[in-house]
Amino acid sequence: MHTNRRDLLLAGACAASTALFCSVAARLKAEEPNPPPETTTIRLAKNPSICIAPQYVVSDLLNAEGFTNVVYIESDAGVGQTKAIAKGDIDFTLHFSGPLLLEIDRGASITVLAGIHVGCFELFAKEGIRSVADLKGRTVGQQGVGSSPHVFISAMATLVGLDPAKDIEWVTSASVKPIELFAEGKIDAFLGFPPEPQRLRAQNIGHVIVNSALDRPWSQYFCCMLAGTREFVRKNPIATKRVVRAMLRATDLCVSEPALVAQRMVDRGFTPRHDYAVQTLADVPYNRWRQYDPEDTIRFFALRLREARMLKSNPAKIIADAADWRFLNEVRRELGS
Amino acid sequence: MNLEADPTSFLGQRPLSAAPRASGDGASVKDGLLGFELRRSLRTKLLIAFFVIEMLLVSVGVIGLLSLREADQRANQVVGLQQKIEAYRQMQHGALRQLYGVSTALAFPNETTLAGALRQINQFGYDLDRVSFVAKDEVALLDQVREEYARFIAVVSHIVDLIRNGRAAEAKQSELAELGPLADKLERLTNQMVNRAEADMVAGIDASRQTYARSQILVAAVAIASFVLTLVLGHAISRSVIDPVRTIHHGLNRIAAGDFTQRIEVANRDELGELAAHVNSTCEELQQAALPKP
Repeated sequence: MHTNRRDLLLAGACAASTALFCSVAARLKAEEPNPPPETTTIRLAKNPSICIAPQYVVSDLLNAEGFTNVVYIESDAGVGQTKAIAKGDIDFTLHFSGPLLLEIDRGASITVLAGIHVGCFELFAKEGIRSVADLKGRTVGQQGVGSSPHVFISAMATLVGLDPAKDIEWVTSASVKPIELFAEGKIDAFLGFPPEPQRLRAQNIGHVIVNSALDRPWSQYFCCMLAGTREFVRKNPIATKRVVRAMLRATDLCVSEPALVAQRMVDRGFTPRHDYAVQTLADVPYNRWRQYDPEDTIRFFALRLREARMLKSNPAKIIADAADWRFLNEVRRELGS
Repeated sequence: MNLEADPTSFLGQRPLSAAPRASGDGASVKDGLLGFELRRSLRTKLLIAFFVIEMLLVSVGVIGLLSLREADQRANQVVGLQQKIEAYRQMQHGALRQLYGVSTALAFPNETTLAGALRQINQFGYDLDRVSFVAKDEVALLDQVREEYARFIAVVSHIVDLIRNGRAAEAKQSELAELGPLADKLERLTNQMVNRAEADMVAGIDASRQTYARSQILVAAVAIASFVLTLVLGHAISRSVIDPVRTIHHGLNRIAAGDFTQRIEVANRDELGELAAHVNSTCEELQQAALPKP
């Protein structure tokens, strides 16, 4: 059998990543405080979005926290995922706060537990569109009403005085993904989340008018947040804290070991493109969860979505009903700043 | 005919003995405070009716005034929150101006630009004092802002010193590594304060709407109650006045036609009841007078 240098490198990387995860897991095992979690099964979402990399590499850390059965349940990256967590089909997920807030406003039993990373969305547009205000009267692709792109663009449009419902011509296509419509030139703008921006940049399609990781005010708030089923959080506080801790440790790994995290995502079938995964981990700021205030993210997006008339509740009510920072505060103290 | 004056009679006269009606049966009460008799006279009935209607009108007015007072309080709150937001934004601009001043001093290191950068520090301090004044309730956040502000000022002063000493590269490094992140943090903190103030404003607007909706329901309920009460009172008063007047009218018609045998039945214990008793007495006397004398 012929072994080339690339195979050797890959094998080396795999071995190193396994060793690293094992060492983190072993350390966790060693410092495991009593009591054990109330349940040993955790159900997480699996979808095409790869900005939620911590969720895809957290399984080893969850094993070390005492969860023997970590299940990934297929869901879409949009409305379906929010509904799944509202129904209790998924215990925890990392998701953009906007759709979570809409579902909470409708009375869904969701508890937001922590902020994970800052902006991963990028708004791509055709030539001639230079700002969000230029989207007036233009066609914008979305997966569905209430999906992350729809919510985010609505918030952005409202902030510059557009009425997203009237001023933007939304194109919803069930059969063709918005990114394909944009690549074919059938729509004027499109909000992509990893790996879509990486693909569009690689293919040199369109140009970015808003990068939520860099552009204010979006870059000053969390994008994806850790949310759990309220019932699970209420019934299983120990398990919840362990999940929060494992997820934040996984987020730290995305900063300290991006190459290994990317490799693991590919190895476990969460994404086929290693290069896009590496780029995503380099582009998305995973190092802000200690500094940023997740409550302010909820407040900010609740204000914007209320301005867009997509939300009825006021921010104070949403925070009172659906946010629980106790676990985050404890884990912050444990993991240090 | 015995029609001598009687101080207890509504009409100022005592009914004739032929009408043995109870007139002083306890319904008549002297009210020393009000200074007039609270008997079931027509005047008392009308006074009570108008008093009830007046009370309803007053209650509608009171509800309106309370709603206005609440609206006024909310408006004052909103003005206070707007002042807060304006002060927060001013501070945010101050941080940005400070960054700009340092960048300019780095790009064109001379005494004018350095003095400009240092002057900005005073302006920033003024902005912070203003925030401290308008946002006394945001103690924890303000403490954080003050802490970051102190660090920010220290870094700016350090950078200006480095530039003055000709160490531009170190100054640039310090600007990138320290000043930028500090300005970011200050901006986030002020954003947080702005968002809180906006959220308070939204909550205030919600509360105002709820108050308005409650007031609407209350005023509508009082209006409906007034309407119903007015109908009931009007009906009751008209019944107690018009019906006896009609009965007396018919009785007088019969007397005019020479029929002295029938008596008027009026149950009122007011002036009309007394009038009916008088008519009956008169009728009885006329009947006796009309009898053929033996």
